[in-house]
Amino acid sequence: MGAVLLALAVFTVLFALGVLLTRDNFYAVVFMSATMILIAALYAVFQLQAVSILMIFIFVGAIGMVTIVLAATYRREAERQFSPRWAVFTAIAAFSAAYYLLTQHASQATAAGFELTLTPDLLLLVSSMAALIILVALSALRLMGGVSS
Amino acid sequence: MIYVLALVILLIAYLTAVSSKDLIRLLISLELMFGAVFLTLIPLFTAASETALGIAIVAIFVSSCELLILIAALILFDREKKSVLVDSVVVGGEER
Repeated sequence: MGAVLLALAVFTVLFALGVLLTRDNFYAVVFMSATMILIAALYAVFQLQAVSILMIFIFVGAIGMVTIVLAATYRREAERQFSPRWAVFTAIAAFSAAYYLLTQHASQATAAGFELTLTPDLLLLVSSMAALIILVALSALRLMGGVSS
Repeated sequence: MIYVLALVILLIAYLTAVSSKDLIRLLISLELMFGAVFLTLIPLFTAASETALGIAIVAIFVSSCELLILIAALILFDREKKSVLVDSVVVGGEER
């Protein structure tokens, strides 16, 4: 289980770096979708399949697809979008924070998994949140249509 | 390890955001930041799994709503300015 976690973590960071280093926005979205799938896979490793499926459906299936279409529509000449000056500050922040987290032995989840039960309250929450996202989508579509007319 | 992984992804997303030259890359970096935030939720399941599941559901739907609004705003911005470059974003009343 530990090796699976480590492998997933390494691939997640590699794909996230792909978002940073690629020149083309289209490939950046593809790398971002792959990163989200791997994050969802981490949830699945901890036996949290409900959250995992929800994340893949929404962040890859819905938002990811819309972003891919957006990136393909506004495709322009690819150029490097990487700031070395900021990279130095980010690396220093990453090292100091990771050192703090690793030395403080922050409470870590075990890979044993969690028991989850979908209670009626949680199902009500899911349905109301789905209603919210439909409402927001309709509002956004109406707003865009209003501006064009 | 989960916290460190979340931190590394969050910092990569921050670096992508500050380096981005167009709004689409900014949107992608924001989605990556949300991914990092979801990773930090995993340890919460050890303490209170039902509460954590509720928080995760609310966080997933609310963040996707926010991204949806941002996508709509991006399309509206392009219609207005005919560009999605970060340089074409001006603060209120600023002339360019």
